[in-house]
Amino acid sequence: MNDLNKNESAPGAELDDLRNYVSRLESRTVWSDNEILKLRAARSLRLAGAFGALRQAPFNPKSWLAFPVSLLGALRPVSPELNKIKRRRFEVLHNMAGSGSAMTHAASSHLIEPRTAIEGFYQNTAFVLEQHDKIVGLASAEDIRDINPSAEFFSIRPDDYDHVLKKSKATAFVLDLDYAEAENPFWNGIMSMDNVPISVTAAHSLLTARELGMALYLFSPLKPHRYPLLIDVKPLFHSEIAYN
Amino acid sequence: MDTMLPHRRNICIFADVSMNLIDGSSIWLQSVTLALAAIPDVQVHLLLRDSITRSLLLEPLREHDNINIIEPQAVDATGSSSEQPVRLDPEGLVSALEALDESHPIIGVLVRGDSYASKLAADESLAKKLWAYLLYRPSLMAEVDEPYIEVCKKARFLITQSEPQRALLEARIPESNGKIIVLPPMLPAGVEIPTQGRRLENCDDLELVYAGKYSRLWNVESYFDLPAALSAKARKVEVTLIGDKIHKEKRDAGFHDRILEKLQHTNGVKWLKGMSREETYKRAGEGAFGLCWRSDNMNDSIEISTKFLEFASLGVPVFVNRTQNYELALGEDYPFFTSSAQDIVDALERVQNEPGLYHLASQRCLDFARDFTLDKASLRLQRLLDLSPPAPGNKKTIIAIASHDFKFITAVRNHLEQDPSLQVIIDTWSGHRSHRIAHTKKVLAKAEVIFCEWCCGNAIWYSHNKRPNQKLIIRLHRFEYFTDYPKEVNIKNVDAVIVVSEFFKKQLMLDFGWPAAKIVVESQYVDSHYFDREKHSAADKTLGFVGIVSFSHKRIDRAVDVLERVLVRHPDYKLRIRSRMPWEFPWAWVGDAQARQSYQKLFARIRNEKALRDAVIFDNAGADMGEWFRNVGYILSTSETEGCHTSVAEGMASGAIPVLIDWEGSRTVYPDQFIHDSVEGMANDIIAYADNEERRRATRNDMRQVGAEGFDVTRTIDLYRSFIDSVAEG
Repeated sequence: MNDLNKNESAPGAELDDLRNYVSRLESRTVWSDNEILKLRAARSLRLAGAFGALRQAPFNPKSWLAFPVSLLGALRPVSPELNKIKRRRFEVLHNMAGSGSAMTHAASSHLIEPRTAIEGFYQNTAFVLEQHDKIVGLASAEDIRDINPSAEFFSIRPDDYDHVLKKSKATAFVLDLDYAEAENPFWNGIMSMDNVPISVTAAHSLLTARELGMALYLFSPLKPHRYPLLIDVKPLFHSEIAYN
Repeated sequence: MDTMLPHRRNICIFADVSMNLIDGSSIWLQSVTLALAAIPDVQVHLLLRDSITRSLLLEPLREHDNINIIEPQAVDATGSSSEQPVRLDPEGLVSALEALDESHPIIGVLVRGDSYASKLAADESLAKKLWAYLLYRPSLMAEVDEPYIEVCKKARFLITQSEPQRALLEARIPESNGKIIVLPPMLPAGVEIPTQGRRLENCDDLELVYAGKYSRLWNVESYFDLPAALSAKARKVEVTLIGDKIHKEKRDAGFHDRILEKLQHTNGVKWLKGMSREETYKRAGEGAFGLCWRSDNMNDSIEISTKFLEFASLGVPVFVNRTQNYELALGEDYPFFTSSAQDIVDALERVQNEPGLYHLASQRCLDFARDFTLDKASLRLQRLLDLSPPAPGNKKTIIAIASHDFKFITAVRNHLEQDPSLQVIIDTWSGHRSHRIAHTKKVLAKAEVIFCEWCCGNAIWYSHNKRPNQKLIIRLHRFEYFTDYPKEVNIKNVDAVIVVSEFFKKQLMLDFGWPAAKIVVESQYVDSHYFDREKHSAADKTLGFVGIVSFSHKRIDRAVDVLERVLVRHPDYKLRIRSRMPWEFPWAWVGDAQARQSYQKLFARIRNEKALRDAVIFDNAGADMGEWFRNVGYILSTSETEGCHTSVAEGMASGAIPVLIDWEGSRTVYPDQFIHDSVEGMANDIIAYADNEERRRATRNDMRQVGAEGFDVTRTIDLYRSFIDSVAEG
């Protein structure tokens, strides 16, 4: 993650940098936007379907009896994820880019580091690793046990040979790049410029985990500059866990 | 236009940049023009986007008799007055190239600029000559923009600035595989890199030099604070700034005027305005340090800055961001990584206290810069010329390629189709024997040379119907030998048969009585440059296997046997298998119950034995084999039968050690030392290499050379050309 306020430059530059960063984050939520679009389109279709059925047989009492039910069904969020995604996006706008928001003001006046603000953004999604019984991903089993002793942890392979992503029924996905780089040869070079194919595979796994409704956690890498491709997948994560 | 020299290959260069401005893009255009012009027998046509208003960057190009500088008004189809400045748009570029191609047949057009490259890619004729220089870096997951996909699909070659950018394109746009060369930024012409790093004589009077544009992202505004920050440490420091291109920043309206003001009135800052590249380079060498400290937003960059290279080639240590690229280049402990002005203050403090530090950093910069000279760039570009046709002769030869499957001849076909002195007619057969007879007859009526790819019905038909004045060359791979097709070929009417190994030559002579003089041995080609990439560290302990279908043919079970034996001695070894899976082929899964059972048994074995489960990985099939082979240290071939098993040659070109079982003919294609009678022998060989690092490294290096010399695509191209040339000359 970029540390945004280290450069000494013109007054207000930190605020601009922060806004740039947020706009970059925003521009990289294409996948989420598409998802919202799809979900909204699905809802519109169902609404159209409800009214369409009534219009086809307006004098049939059954149509009128069925109408409230289908209308309510159409108005119900198509996926419970819809609200989450909307809220998350709203938080980004409100907390990070909205003019005059407390967070932006704090960052611009050096009261808090932008890095903290960015982590806050992730954590504001209110996912906590401790709440999951089954966790899947790429991390040391001991580290996961330290955080959540009662959780069952499943390590994933690049080929997902055992279909762990689906079969484990995990609700959380963790990615610890430092572990992957140092201790798992199959994932060697992940998110670094050394091994693009394995990074593409990892991005695919993260997308699959999102599609399966998992909460995604990123363990902050100790040396972020070693993972220049991480920026591409960062918007997929709900939360970032820093080492202490 | 200047006078052109005859018999040179015409290459056109165009970039969506102004040569009237001095910035990274125009410097690049100057460099790449010089790099191409340095290749023997090349005539470079530099087509400018804008009319010349300032010729500082063009002067060094005018000194070369094989560089032809063309102003846009000279090719402007609208007929604008030559006195008014003209800017060439994408449509104008197409017209200009068509006109140029008429007068000087072009074999390649190097284009930088997305809209221009897209326009050329959409033109069927020009796309075959397009060498698109792409700055586009696809994301790991966002959808790839459609215009880039089209350019990657249609262009003859693609050029990227860095290895990771190439890998991203290959991973996200499969069609780009095999088309890309990497052309990193290059140093000015004539640079001689010193062998010994510099030493700093006086730590109290230092000059820090920056050269380039003034933009927010480039972080230049921070440089104005340095003299004051360092004077607080009682050290005299002067910051010298070279360049006159100040950005107008949308998000910072006052940026331009503020920078101009600071350039003129900041104490300790000397502004040298715009200078030629040569002057800038000379001046950069007079400083104690270079400044390439960018905004932190550049920390994810995967590129190397040209300015950094210029400082580095002079042995001038550079203050630069700690990115993965620079860390790999200069070492984790390089003392001048910077993310704040304070880092520079601290580093200079260290330089004073540790006398050897400056020299060490200078030496590392020099060592790194050696790979970026203009000569090296010319060598990289030479590959594109190697795969391009020669200068067109006076006579146009008509050739035909007939086949039901062109996949093993694509590179040669592309090469021939690009040659303006050839007319290539394709006769596509719908099956081994089926074809449109009317079309085949038309092809026969026109062609002077006929190439039959595969020895199937196509070879039979042409061998019975070709005229005596036509040449017929058949390429037989493997499976045809086991059919009746060769028996039906009228060998008397065939001028040459190309086979993939000496083994098949012998068999054809024995079984069909074909004369030895007509049989030419040439293995299936590989693009050795495509596979020649640095290995990952994990490759040392990784065996590779490509293609597991069909079972009885490829014998993947033997590869697992080999691994199992290796694991006894080296439990950390892995086997990567890259293949489509058998259930993707109905004939191999549904249609062959015995094979299915064999696969299922093998998969169960891998699943149930922990050592194997942890050591075997199935990689999805894909086109980016060059990147995949970076993971592989040993390439296995356990087949029951093969023609030449191309993946072994690909592995060798990548620097992997081949380990083969003794299939019939293997010894006529690959060196004896890598061929074994049994899986035990294969495993023991791998263990022997694993135990002897020196031997392993030496063999790896040899393999790259053997792979390049024995299997490179240029060999097959030359062979095909020799058949064509014999007709053209006759």
